[in-house]
Amino acid sequence: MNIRLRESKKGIIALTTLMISTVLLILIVTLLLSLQGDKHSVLRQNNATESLYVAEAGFADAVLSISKDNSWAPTSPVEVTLPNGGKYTVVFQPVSGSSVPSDVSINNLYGYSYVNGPRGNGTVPPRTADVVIMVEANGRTERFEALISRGFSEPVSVPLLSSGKIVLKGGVEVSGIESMSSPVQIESGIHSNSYENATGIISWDGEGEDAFINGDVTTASTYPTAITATGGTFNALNVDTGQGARQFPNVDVDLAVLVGRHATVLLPSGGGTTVVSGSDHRFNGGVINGDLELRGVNLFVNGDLEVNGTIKGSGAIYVKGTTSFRGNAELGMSGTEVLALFSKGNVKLEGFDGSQYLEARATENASFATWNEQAKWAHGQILETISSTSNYTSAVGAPAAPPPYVDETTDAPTGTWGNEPGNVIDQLRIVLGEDNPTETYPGTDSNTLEKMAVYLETNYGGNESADFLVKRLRDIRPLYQNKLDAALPDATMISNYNSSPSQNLGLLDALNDNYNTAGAKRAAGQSNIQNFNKLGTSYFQGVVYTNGALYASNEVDIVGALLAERKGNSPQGTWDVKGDGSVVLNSGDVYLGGGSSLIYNKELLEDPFAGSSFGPVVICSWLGN
Amino acid sequence: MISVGLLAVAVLAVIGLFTGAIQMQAQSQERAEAEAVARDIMERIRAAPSNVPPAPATWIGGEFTSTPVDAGPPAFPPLPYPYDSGGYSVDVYLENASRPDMKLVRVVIRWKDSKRRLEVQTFIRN
Repeated sequence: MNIRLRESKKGIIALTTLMISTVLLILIVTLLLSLQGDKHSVLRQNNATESLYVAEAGFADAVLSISKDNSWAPTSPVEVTLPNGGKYTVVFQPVSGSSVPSDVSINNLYGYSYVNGPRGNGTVPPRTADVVIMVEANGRTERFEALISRGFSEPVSVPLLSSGKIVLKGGVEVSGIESMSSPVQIESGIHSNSYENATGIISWDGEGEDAFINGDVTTASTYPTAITATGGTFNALNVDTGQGARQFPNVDVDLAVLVGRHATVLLPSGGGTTVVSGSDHRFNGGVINGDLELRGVNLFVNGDLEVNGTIKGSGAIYVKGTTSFRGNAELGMSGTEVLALFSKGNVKLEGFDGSQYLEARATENASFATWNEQAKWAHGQILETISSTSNYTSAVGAPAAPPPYVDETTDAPTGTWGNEPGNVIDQLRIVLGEDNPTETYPGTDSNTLEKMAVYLETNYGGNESADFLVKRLRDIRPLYQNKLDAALPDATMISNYNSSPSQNLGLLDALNDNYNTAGAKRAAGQSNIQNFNKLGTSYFQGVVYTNGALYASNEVDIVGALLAERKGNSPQGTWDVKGDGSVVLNSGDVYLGGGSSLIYNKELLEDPFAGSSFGPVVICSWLGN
Repeated sequence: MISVGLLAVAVLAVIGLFTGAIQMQAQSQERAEAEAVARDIMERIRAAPSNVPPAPATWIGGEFTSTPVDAGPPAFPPLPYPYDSGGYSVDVYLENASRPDMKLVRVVIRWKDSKRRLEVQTFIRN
């Protein structure tokens, strides 16, 4: 009995041991299998990473090829094998109405509408290329897809956008228009992407003047005092913090300069205007004395660019270093002048402090003071009259001769604009630009712009500010002069003006007298842009994008946008703009002061590369596998 | 006796398998870390292509540790190469690519006395 019991116990022990051992083994084997799964997962991840970089090689190749030739779209497969395994293939199909296989790319960079692509019909946006890279590595084939564009695949939504601080000083104005040809007012705000918890991410010091922002003033920072305004009345539609970051355009200045290194060498003229036309040019950096004018081409600057005059025309400039230049006395109104400036370093844009200069001349000469005041007044009256469509009429009959000279309050009841010859618009423009003392607005001088110009030329010729203002006054005047050639049709005048904004002699007169609604609005647009409170105002027309800081001062009006994006390769450290510590900026900061203003031109921002038909591209969006 | 024998075998098997499991886990972890190192250094190189010197050129054995990038003058390979010991050696090879205006960048991560390695390669523009 005892022996059986003992043997039974042994059996139970053996059985229990076996069971425990089995359970342990099962657990351990399960653990091993799980860890083996992890190991395979890590290996798969390794392979995916290797494939990704092979795909990156393919995209780098495609981006460079398309940057050199925006129409690059080889229909025979481009197959490249990397030295240590891995191969990528890219092949294109011409844009057509037929469907596109998923492994084929489409170049729609020159297109203005959606076309069929590898993701389906009508999926490739205009002005982009949908590039598919097929990668074979470690025995697997993977597909990668990305959208390539010249950088502005998404239109910039505000005319002033920064990564860092925005510093506004004095009587700053930010407004917006639909386009030069249709200067309808639209909202235009300013925004900082800075998330910093600090006071004054956006700061304004009125210094006794008021600010007018015809839009929202916002920042990504949630700090309660991230936006500050002192020293005057800050007029904005809304002021909000915690509004999230906004999209910058994607521009690779280094790539652009690389692509342009075989372009024609630019030889500055040494004075006057250096014209860049015909083909893309490159410049190794330095000083250009006088103006720089682009005519539908790209300029690649492998260094710093300092222009002692203005930059104007249409095209794109890529600067690897810092950029400094001045505003232009003349504002192009044709809508075809589209300039895009991309600077890896800081940008300094200065005007001439013309208002102070004019005030100083007015103090020393009573006649000059009168002309200056009457010019500003007449322009203000013209603006007031043309600002409302109710003042415009085309329903009046043939004008009576001689036309009555009336003051504004007793003008024809059917309208004061687009009316009979000799109406108030005619009287006011004579104050500005026509030498006709008998028909000018009662109690005013005529031809005040030219009189001021002659005074400055006679007494201050050779002075930089005086010369600038003389040119500016004489650039403005023709818009207000009489139409000289009575037989010249309105359509011809407008056409001439569109091809060259300086051909605006008598435009306001003709379009006013002849009831040309569209043309009259066009002329009104030019007058509307001119700021007679700041006759010294100079202009820059286009987009300025920098990876450094941006400084704009001294009555410079930017018609376009200012974008300052801080990146990993942005200039390090601070920028003491004036060298006296009064203005110190970091990369991504924007300073707008000295009576400068910003006019958001929506049309220009929708296609800032309209001025140069081709140029470098970047990946703007990964579309996945 | 049989039970003792069975138990001994089971314990030995468990110890052996457990050790293997730990080793496997360590290897996976090392490989995952090595990949992170390779990606990090490659992304830093790709982020500043203009800092990349002409090919061919080779940098062998820089050790790597994850440290925030300091602001400073451009250098290649980019910071934090080589840095303190983290158990991984980083080699960077620049070679002329078969495509025009491009160069091949290879980043090789070695560990366990070079018995294990991981490599990623791509093109960047000249």
